[in-house]
Amino acid sequence: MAISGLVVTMDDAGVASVLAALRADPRITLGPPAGVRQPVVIETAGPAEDDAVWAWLRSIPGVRFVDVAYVHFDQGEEHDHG
Amino acid sequence: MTTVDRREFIKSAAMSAAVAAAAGSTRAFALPVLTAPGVQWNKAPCRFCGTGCHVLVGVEDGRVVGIQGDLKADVNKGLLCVKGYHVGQILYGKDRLTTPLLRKDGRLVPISWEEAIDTVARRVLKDPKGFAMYGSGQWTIPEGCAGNKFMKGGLSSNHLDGNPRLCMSSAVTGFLSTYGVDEPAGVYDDLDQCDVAIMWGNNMAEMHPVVFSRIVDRRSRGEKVTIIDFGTRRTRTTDHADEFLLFKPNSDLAIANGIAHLLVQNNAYDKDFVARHCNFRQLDPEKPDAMQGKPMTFDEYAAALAEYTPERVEQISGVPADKIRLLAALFARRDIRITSLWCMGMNQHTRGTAINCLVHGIHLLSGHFGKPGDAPTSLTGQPSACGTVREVGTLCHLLPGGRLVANEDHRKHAEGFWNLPEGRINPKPGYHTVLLFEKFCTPTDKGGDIHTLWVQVTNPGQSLPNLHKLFKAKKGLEDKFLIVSDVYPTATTELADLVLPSALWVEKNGMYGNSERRTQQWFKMVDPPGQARDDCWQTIAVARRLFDLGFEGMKNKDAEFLFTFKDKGGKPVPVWDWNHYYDINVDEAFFEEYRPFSKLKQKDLAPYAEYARTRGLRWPVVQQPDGSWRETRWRFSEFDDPYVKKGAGTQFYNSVTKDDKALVWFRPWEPPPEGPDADYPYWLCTGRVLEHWHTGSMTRRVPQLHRAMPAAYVEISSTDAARLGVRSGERVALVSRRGRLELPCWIGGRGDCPEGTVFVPFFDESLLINELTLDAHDPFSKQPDYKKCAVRVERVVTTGAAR
Repeated sequence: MAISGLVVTMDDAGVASVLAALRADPRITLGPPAGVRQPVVIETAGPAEDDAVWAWLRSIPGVRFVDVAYVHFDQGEEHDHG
Repeated sequence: MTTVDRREFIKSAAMSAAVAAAAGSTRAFALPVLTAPGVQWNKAPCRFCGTGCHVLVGVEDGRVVGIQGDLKADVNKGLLCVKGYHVGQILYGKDRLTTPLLRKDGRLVPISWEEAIDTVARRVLKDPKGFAMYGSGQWTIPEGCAGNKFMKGGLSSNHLDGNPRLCMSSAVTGFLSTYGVDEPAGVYDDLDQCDVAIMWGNNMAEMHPVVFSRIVDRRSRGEKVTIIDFGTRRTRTTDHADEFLLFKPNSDLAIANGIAHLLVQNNAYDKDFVARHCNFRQLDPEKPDAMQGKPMTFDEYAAALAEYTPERVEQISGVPADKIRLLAALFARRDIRITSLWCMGMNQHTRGTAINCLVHGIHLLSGHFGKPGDAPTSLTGQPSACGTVREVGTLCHLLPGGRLVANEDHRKHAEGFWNLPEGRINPKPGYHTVLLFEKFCTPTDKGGDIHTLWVQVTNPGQSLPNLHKLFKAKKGLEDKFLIVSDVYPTATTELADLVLPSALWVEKNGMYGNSERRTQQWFKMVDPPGQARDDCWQTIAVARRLFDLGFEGMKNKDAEFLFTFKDKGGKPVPVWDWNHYYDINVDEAFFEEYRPFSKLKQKDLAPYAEYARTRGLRWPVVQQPDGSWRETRWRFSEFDDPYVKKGAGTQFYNSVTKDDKALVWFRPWEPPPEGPDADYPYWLCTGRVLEHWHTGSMTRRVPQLHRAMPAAYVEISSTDAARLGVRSGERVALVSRRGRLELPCWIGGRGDCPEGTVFVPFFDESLLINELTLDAHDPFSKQPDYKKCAVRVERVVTTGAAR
């Protein structure tokens, strides 16, 4: 299980289309927005899927950047250094 | 707790964090805590920056399993940044160093601790004068005490310097030049009370997010706080600023002089404060290297400032003249409180001492000093740059307690406290960092007289400027020997001849000193992995090996071992033997030996036990008639500082001029040593990002942080990117006179450079931006300038990986 708390920052012009894309994905829960900053929680089966969602978020037209606020992986997930 | 409950709890925590980060955008927040029976919680300061947040560390079955912000801590009041929440995981990267490694036939191979310690000792014996040590603002206070005494008291060598030379030594020389003593007069409480906060080249929102939240959160409570952001690029801090003043790199001295000029010209300075508490000073042209300078009158000061009219400052800096007037008008007001904050932007500067002095000078001239909310305050990047380096004195010219090796009285004091034979401490300052590495990387027959360098708790192979010259040139020098004590393989261990595996953070006892003079303490909570051992023990063990080999310097005046510690019954404990190291609290022993030094310049420290029961205390900590210990928040102010004479109001009792006055300096603006030209038309600025701490050797092992910011990038303006024909994610090459590096572009990201400037963070060991940076340094602080050098940008015609 992987759960990430992220902030998606959007271009002014892209807010509506980005939010529509986020709402269409059942793995993503949206929190109350703060201007162009949209808090989201991603819940997936594991880090690999979490990575894929993260990459997809960054590729959505209108997304300026994605910030991490909190990430949880279950124990046993080891990490290869950069 | 059921699986569903747990999942919902984690989702709730994740959402809380994201909402807090999005709403406040200060990147500091508090989270609910998943508690479980069997988890033991204990306090510790965070391992990362100089803010000094306290965390509670949850331990179960000998492993750190949880982190929470400490509600009892004044510094952070339960808040943490994203690095702080993940700090526990720095212990568990899978490539921890767990055994000593010696380079044999080109390869690092495991050896025993006995062989490792003997190897270090034999390198000392080769020629003690050519043996040097390079420490760290991440050293704990006792580790610094051990290194300092080993080198200066044992080897009679001052070739001990530390990485704070690279991050805050200009702040030190600024404080010393102005007040005669180091470290800020104010504290974080100023941020709770100021009306105006000025960021002098300081991206506090990302670098010190928890402290920054103390300002921004006041706005959410309906308070008015004006934030003025001086910068050479827009950052996350700019998002919160009422005024963003973009200035040309290196022009900050002109701006500061422009403000001072208007205060004087408009007769708007605080005449009473100046008359009672200030003298004026300038550099002596006959002795330009003398930090003391020479006196000047107020009229001479005013005349020197006269050329810094708002229009002239605009011409130099690009900041509109009206904005210079606005700043001067703010400082002229007596009904508001102003706090200035700075960090690397002012310190990593070839004129670092000068700009530090000028900002102090504006506060003194305008009387914005010594009242809660009125303070010039530098911030530090490392958790104990203040405690271990500035206070313990682990720089090549210092002794503990703000004393100097070059001063005979100071040496005698130190020899007394350390119980050394008279004359043991060498009066000649050692090599500062840049010179130390230059000497180490220069062949012996060409004047490179440092043959062995022992690096503890830092990563100079990544953090030094001009790496090809100052670090990589070591490669192939057969008679040079690099020893590295660290927790992970780094850019530095790549060239190491001997690697010593170290315990990290809560795997050992420790003490830190943060940016606001707060001394902090923690106890060991878990065991280090494999054979990793405390850095402090490593130093003592080498000293003992030298003692056993008959090295005279490792004996005190009574011919006892230099590091003789006794148990409560008075019996010596063989702490050099790892099996006995924790028989006593070595940290407490070192700290109590060090404490008497702290009183020499009114930096009094309380007994160790006081720190064990508190979340830190700010010095001077003075015992009260009832036996309790009272910390000091505002130094030099009668209402709070016990060393100020009754009736004085403000008293600079360490005054350079011995008359209880501070110095207001005139320092002219001058062009930089290197700037853009036809061949290298861009400014390169380097720095940090929120997710990674310094060279990333710890944070890049935390999966969450690594994934959030996996690689370095170059931030470039959209205009320059269009001119070069590159888009976000495409690669460009940066080329300076010292090196070349290819990186992906990031356009319109977190920061925003103006045309003609690029920015690169230095956390990524696979993209070493410091191969390009300049090793030119401030003549007084010897701190290099990482913020300004000239590069050209070339488009790379490949299909590179995007961010």
